[in-house]
Amino acid sequence: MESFVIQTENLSKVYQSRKQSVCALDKLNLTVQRGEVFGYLGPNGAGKTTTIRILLDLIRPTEGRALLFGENANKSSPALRQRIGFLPGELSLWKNLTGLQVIQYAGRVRGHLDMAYVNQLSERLKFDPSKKVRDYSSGNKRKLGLVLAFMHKPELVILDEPTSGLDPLIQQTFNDFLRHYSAEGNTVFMSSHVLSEVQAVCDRVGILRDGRLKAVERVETLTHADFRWVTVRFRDAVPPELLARVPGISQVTPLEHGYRFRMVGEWQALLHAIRDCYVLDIQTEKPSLEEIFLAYYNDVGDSEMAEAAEVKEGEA
Amino acid sequence: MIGAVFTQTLRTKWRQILYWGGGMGLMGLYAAAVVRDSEMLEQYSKIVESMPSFLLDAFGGGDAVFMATPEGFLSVEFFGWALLLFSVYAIIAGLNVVANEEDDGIMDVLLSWPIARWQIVVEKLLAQTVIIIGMLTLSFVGLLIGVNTSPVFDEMSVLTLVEGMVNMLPGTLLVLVLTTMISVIVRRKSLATGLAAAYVAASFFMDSIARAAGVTLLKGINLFSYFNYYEHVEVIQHGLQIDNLVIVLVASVVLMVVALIAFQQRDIGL
Repeated sequence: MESFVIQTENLSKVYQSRKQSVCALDKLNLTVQRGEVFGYLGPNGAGKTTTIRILLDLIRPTEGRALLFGENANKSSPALRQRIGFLPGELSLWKNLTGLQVIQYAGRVRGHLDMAYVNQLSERLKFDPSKKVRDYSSGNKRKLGLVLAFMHKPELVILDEPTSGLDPLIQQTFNDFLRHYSAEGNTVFMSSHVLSEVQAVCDRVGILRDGRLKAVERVETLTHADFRWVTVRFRDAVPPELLARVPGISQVTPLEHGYRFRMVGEWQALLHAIRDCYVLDIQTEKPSLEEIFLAYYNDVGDSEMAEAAEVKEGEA
Repeated sequence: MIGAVFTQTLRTKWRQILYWGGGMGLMGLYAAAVVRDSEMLEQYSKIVESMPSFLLDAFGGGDAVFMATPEGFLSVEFFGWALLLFSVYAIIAGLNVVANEEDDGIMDVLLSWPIARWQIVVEKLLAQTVIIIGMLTLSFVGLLIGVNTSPVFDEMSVLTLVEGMVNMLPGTLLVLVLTTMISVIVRRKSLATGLAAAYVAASFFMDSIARAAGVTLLKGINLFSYFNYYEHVEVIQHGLQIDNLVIVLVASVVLMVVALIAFQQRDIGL
């Protein structure tokens, strides 16, 4: 039995053109286990789609390898793809065919079509397969893509921005479906910009930037990050310098009777600083995954800049 | 599953048989039906005889006497142009094998299904071959109707017409496979169309000029023209030239293998 459903080893991809070569993926080492919902995050151009295209053997790595169920992805094995469902980021299909005809075509290529399950999926997503592809809205085309990705009950589903274009109600239905799907032992690898979606369905997330994997964390770990937003309300006016001097406090925003700020670390220093003030109320909020995500990037960016500055100082 | 892409291609493209085959059939019907009596053929004979021999060669044959017969008339007026027109379809069909779906992004979806890259190319080429055979058959029907409506063609053998039609198949397939191969290698649809069309046009004119000029160098270059192996006048006069058919079919298979290897190895959709 395979140890990992997805495993990449030093996976790199350099796009060559006449004028320049662009490194889209740089020595990516990643593993996804059976039954996991893995979120693949990163800004545009980070290398998410490149990774997905290599996993599906649409493009070949410049270096390293990708394994699916322990088998090299670039063998283009039809048997391997029988176990995979895929939804591309920009879904293009045969415009002259109806949704049903596309589904039937996929069924013929796969050698099996469970129409009862297709109908069940369509009903769940509120999708009407009788129309021609050219007449579908982007949301409905997305639904057709989801039916195509799941219709053969694959062990691994690779989804590139699955819910973009879906209305919030269907997004919620889809997220519920994904949770049930992975609970049955199936694996989901999804790239997303919608962090609330990642927060709702993913077990782990990988954060990619400039083709490099910056972190792989459990979603709970990220959401238990050690910073929080604190709002303190005072009875009397308090100068902002009082808070700004406290270690671990930043981004102090004045409110009508208090302040809102970002706090890292323990409470003791803050409580000590405001010991002489009359405190009416203290509220704390956990950061959203988006804030953690942005904070993570900023921290990495800051440290990289610091490293660069150190190098420059050394050279001087 | 084996055959799924083949049947899907037939399902979605079979109408081309009606459009192209019907059009070519009408052209054949007109070419044959327009000759109402032997007097007309005599006039045609006089025009042919008055042609300089190099011009006669350029039309595909040097036998002026034969070219003034009903068979000779059809060999020039129908079979002389038909391959060129079928080649236009072959270019369009060649782009449909890989280039169009890759350009539209559909190939990403298709290749995520359990089917090998080579299988997609082979099944689509086979389906297009069936479609082309359908077109040739429909063209044959049109030509046959035309021949039967004119008393001039009373003695014309149906087998001769069949051979004329069969003779067009290898050349059409060669252009189909060549366009597929070019589109797989250059990846740009417009460039692939341009290169394939340039080859068809160059082949046609190269063959005409080489036959007319009779210069050794030109004849050497003409080996690369698929019209060189078409010999439509010769086929109508003496029957199928098997060696020519084999050369063009073998060349088609070689080009298909090159296309398969190139498609198997390269990235998709970049």
